[in-house]
Amino acid sequence: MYVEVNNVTKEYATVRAVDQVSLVAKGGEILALLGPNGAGKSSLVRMMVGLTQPDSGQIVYRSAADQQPLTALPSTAFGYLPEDRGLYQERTVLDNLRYIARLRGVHKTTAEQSIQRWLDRFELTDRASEPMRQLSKGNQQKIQLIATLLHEPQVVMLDEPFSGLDPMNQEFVLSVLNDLRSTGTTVILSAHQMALVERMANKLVLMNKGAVIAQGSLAEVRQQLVQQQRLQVEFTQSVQAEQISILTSVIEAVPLSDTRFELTCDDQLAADKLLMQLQDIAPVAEFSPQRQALHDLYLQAVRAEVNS
Amino acid sequence: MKHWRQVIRIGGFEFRRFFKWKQELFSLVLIGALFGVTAGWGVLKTALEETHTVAVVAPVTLPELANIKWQPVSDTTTALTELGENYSGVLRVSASPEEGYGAELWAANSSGWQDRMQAQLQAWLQQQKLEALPLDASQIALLNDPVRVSITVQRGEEETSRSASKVIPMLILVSIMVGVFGSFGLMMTAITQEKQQRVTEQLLTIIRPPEWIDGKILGITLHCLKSMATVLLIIVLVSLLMMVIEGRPLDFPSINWTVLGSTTVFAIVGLVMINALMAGFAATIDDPNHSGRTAMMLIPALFVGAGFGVMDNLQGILAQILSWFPLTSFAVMPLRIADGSVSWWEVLGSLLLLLLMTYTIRSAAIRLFSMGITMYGKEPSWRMMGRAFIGRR
Repeated sequence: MYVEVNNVTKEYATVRAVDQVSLVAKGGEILALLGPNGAGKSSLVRMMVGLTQPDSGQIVYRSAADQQPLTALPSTAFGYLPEDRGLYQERTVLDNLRYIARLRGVHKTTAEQSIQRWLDRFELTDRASEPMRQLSKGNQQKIQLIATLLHEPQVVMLDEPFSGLDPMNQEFVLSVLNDLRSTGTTVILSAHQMALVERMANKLVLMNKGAVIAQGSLAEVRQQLVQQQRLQVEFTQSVQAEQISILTSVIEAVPLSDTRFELTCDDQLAADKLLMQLQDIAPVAEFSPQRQALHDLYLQAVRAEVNS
Repeated sequence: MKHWRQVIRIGGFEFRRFFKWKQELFSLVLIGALFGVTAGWGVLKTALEETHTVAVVAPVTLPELANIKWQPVSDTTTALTELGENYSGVLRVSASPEEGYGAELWAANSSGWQDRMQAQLQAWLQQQKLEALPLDASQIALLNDPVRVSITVQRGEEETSRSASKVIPMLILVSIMVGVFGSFGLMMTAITQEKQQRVTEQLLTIIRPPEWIDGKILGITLHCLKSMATVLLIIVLVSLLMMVIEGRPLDFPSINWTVLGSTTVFAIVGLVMINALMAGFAATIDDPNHSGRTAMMLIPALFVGAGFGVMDNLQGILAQILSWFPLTSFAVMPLRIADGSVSWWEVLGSLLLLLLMTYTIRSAAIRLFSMGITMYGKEPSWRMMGRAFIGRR
């Protein structure tokens, strides 16, 4: 199933929570909405699941088979894990899951099988008869994820699925999401944890103050965000930092030792041209462009936006 | 069809959410035990009470009284010196036409057995006085028979004592009151707990507010009806047991099925209306422990209170008005039906108005519910609520 968001805007009182956002998520893709608190991720997700309506623009769902737009997304077709989430604390795990499954219209027998399968996978079968309140926060989060997935939805929307999870459980959720992708499910999630998302998402949408600042595959997003390049260079003999920083393409040269430097360069610079310029100063033993984390690129982009 | 399927699922869940077998049985056992202790308290108290020895100066032999031992003595002065040691009391009795009929008791300290003895001795001495008069047995029996003033209500071929005619309406009102208070507590818990446990957002993507509110109304109404039936059953069982213990004949007002049926219909529709109102209002409360609006949820108790207010004059104009007014009719009309002072077209008219009001309140409650259910950490203003209630954005 396709989810298309076309020029969607949403305002609350004096705040523009979502500003002219457009994106497309297809079956078998993981689309990650990234951004700090207040970036507009949750507002966008809440519109996609129909909890709120856009002020302008539209959200369209298309069937994967014939691309025809659907008038409404049936509750059986999607699973939603809200940011503000919880289940009935005084009821047992089974009661909660059965209730959600029945409301989703899953047949009793199918629901039981599905619940059992998911509980087994999440290693929570022996906790099934316990009230929710007796489970740890992480385990409760897993039960909530099961409640989102047990009806085998075609579209899964997860608002901050990693928050509150320890690294082990984060990895576990990651593997579940990868499995969903491999079965053709459309996964849309919002997160802060860029390092995690970088490893699995097909598409990234980076947001700030309601607007998209970059989107596409990881490589495309990098290309859109990278304004400066970092490199490390090791000379065979001692060199002065000033000798390097006078080069026009070098913005900054930070000495790490007498022979080793970290360089911040203009992104437009071709690496081989710079290498030739450095060789003119002294023989180069090592020349390695530094790959910047998405997190750092994002911060640079936001700061640049603030400064401009 | 899908709407009602969801409503039944939600209603079933809400009912089970508050119905716990262990708790129900525990309540019944507790009420039974309380009744047992209350009923058997007198017997238990007498059995465990120590025997009190009372020194007596009397010209006659006194009757035997439970836990009291009469010790005849020659004079009270000597006996009084042993008061509190050998005797619990010293009693001087006069029982002759010349000296008069009476008794005086001196006791070391005040105690319950003295009141019991006083009452029994008074009755016995009164009997002695009557027997000393020159009267025959029939005259004494006549004097012993207390004067009764009774009121009988005659309506057509039916004739019931006024006290009996009040039993059924009182039972009806008490059970409706139980239902309304149950509704207040359960609906408040059901909705504010969901908000606090953050279940609402997930559910709102699965079910629509009308399905949700109708399901809640169904589940909580069923629960209230269960509570009403339980209370009625306990009252009946306790009354039966009291009759058996006291050796009275099993005298119950006969069941009038028309009254029972129409009362049940009014009670159910009334509870649905109250539950709809409660659901809409509860959704606007963020935290029941801190919200000033919680007290507003007691308003429906006033509707039932109207029933108590007019119970002594069910033929009066006020009772007639309140039995038609749709917010109070569910409590007042059953009383008038039980009283037998209402015609069929009045019942039907009042029921139709009640149904109309219930539908209107339910529709308004859905709008209130939709507005308030996803508000966390804040409550809508009265103005917003008013606009939602009347259907204006």
